[in-house]
Amino acid sequence: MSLVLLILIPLLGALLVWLAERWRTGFSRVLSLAVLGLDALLLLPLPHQAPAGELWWLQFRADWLPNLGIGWHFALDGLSALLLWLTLFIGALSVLVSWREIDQRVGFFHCNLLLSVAGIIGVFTALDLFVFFVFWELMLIPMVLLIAIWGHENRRYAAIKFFIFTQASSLLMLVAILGLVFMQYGQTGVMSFDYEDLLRLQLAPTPAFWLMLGFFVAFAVKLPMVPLHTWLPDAHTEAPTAGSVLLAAILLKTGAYGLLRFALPLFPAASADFAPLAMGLGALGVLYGAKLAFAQHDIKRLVAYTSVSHMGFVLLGIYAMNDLALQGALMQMLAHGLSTAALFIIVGMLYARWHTRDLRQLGGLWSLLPRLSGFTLLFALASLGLPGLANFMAEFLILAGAFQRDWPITLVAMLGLVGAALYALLLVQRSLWGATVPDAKVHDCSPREWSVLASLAVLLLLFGLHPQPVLDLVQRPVAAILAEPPAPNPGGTEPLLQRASMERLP
Amino acid sequence: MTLLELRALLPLLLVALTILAAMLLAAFCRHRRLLFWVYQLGLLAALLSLGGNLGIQAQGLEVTPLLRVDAFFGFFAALFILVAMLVGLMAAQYFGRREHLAVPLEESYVLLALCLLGALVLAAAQHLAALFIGLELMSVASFALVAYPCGGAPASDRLQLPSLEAGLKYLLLSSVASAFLLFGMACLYLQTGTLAFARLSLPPDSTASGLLPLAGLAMLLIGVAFKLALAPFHMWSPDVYQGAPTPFTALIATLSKGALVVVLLRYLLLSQALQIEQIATLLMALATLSILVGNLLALRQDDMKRLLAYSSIAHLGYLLVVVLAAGQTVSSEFALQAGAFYLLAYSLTTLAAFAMISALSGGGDENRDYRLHCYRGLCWRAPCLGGCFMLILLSLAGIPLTVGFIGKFYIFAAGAQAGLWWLLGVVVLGSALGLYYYLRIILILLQQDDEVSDLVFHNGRWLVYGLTLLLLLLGIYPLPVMQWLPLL
Repeated sequence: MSLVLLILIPLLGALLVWLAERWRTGFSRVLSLAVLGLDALLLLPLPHQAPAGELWWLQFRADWLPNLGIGWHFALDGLSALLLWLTLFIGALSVLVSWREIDQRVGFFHCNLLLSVAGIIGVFTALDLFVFFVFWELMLIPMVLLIAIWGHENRRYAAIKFFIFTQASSLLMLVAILGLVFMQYGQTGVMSFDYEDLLRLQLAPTPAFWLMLGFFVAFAVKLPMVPLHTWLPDAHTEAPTAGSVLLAAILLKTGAYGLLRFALPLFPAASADFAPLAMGLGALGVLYGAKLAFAQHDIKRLVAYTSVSHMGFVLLGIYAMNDLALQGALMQMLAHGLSTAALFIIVGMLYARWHTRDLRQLGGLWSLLPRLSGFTLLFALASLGLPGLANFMAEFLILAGAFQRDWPITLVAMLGLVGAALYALLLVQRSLWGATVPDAKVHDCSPREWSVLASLAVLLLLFGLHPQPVLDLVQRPVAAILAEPPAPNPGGTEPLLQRASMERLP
Repeated sequence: MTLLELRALLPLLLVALTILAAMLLAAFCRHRRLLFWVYQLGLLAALLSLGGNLGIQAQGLEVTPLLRVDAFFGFFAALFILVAMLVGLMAAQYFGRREHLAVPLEESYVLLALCLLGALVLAAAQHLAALFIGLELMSVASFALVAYPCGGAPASDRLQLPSLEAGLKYLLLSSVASAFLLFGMACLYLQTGTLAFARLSLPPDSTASGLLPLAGLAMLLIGVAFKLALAPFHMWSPDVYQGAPTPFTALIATLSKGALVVVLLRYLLLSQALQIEQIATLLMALATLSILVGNLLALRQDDMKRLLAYSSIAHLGYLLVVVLAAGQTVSSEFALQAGAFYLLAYSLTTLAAFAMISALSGGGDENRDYRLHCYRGLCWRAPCLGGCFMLILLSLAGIPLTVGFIGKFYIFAAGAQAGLWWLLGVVVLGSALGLYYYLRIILILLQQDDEVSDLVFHNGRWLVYGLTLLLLLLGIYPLPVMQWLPLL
């Protein structure tokens, strides 16, 4: 039941927050923080309720549309929990960073923000594919509104592009889900959208490949993977700071989560066949993102492209399909969530001071804003993968894992680290050093800004120096993802192969 | 005709009675409100008699060789009666706020009920003669509705022109379609010697029986495609949608199209025409073209009514996917249910959309009231109404938690079960295109209203609220309706 509350609280809180703004100006901000805090309090004791040795800490089941085999099925494991923590933390930061930035329709803004968070929590906990799909679509609408109402100049274009890319690809996933369900219906005569039922399905290679592709495309657009990434720079750049932070830190992770939770376990064989291509695309993303980040003048666009590059590492790690790389990919999701959120927040702070995002008009900030500049330097270094920070740990694990699987692709991806150094240092050099901008009457970090950035920095440092708690948390889910598929039926293809090889042995 | 058969036909008889009563009243005792209540109560009685006949419908009863009363009829008859009642309400509100025009509203109830009677006949038809009777009943009444007098005094002829033009177009093209239909029927009769759906089946190997019956069947389908405004026979529909008074546009978009789809389903399944390869190919081509053409042409529309016309072309294209899936034995049952649900979802959403734009019109110039830029900033000026508009658009686009999503889900499910992967690909493409123009309107609703447009709000908003609530409720918990979906 507490799982349902976890979703219901932000959902109902969203309505409340909307109304709260009518009672007192600014009340909705405090209330949003309270709602997110309440959710976090609820999440806090859940790990201790977990039965020992079980993969799922707790589950919730209830009927929804029993005639179609659809039910409310939510469950929580280490993987979901990690991402839920990230979601709630980043959600709270988004409220904090929009404290001054959003001054119009404040109630509705926070309503959308909480709705989006509720949808994301649903995505991270749903285990019924229909329910998952519903949440998958639902988290988008408030996000689109966030971009379209409170975004920058070109917001309508960005919102429409974002909406169409993600929505069209998710329809492909719907087709794939239905294909999967009807195959299961054909085999067992029972219609079910439940994850655990569908896991038991035995698929022939060809349909498995196509169905896997349907899932993969939907998740790859969200991730984003390189030929499908073009919505990202626009959406990130045009969104308000809180929107960019939510998008980069959490929404992109839903794509990676989908791959880990659904694409890999549901289609183990097809995914293994597909892995070289996916790894190649991941490596391509790493290089391409870095290259384009290097060429940007708009800081926000630069940060957006670094996302493409970093998420390329995630894709590489996921499809390397071994313990080390998967743990690295999860670590990278966490680290990228924190470091990119921080960079977007800094861009937002700079924009609030100078109303520009153009690197050519900024410079010499170090002497004007020493504290903010210090943070900028730190997060830029995190982004390039400085040892001691979480990003380094993540990228190291991914590369080490991927190297075992496919070393040429890994070597190519490693070149991305050079690219990362280039764009990160370029960012630092052009904004922090050089000629001072003329308009120098600005104030340095306020306590609110300072505490937001400091909390991110502390977490990055903490996970960089002591990543073991995170790795422990995800160890069991990773093992489940990589587990051998259940034993095939006798008379299937694999026993035949084994018998043939045994005969040849003596 | 036995008593049982009479009882089975009671809904039709009650509607016919309503027509007579309304006609007499309109002739001798012109009283707007009285007629409205006669119409609504007559239809309500028909609905209740339908509920009283559930036993007969469950067993299925053949009433004359022409009509068959079964669960399939029952479901759609209930849907159509409800739609007709809502359209009557919408019309009363629409003309009620144009009282200065002195529109003679009384006759419209007669025509609406006639339209409904035609639709009910179509829902029960199992014979080509019944098909034609029902179709003509419906069409002739809707010509008059499309061209309904909008301005009473001769001075306001200008107001009358668009609807007259629309009526004429509709009349001409419908007649052409009817001619196609009749000729197709004649060809089929020549081959089989019967007009009953169930005995009209052609051998799947079409070459054996010559080209004539096949051509007949194709012409029949083309005639239906004309009336359904499927691409490439869709040219009339945007003009008619735009010209007709808004409540009657809603009628054409929901009742007329729905009844035709129902009879098409019954005909194709009973005569097993979908087993013929050429016919399936023809339908697939119609579906593909409708989805693509409808969505592509809607992209650049600036008039809400024309946009809805194109979007309706695309929606009918999605429905054809279900029709095709119904032709395959493996997915036949599920596809029928899918079709029934989609029709319900489509009718509900479309009615809500028209109720919305009808409630927002009446600011003066009839043709300018439906321009998209009139809705600028609606969400900020009237949050409730704007929110409803957004939900309606999301339902049209098929986004979860609205009934439109469940409908689209059914389409995908039926297509996936039948293995129509290419067609589903087209549906995905079409939906992606569709998202653009629905979202475009949503963004217009959300624009800052720097200059105040002359949009005024009128009565009729409660109808919008009610329909939107229903749309949301059925999107979240569609189980009650799902359990009631009929099989053929």
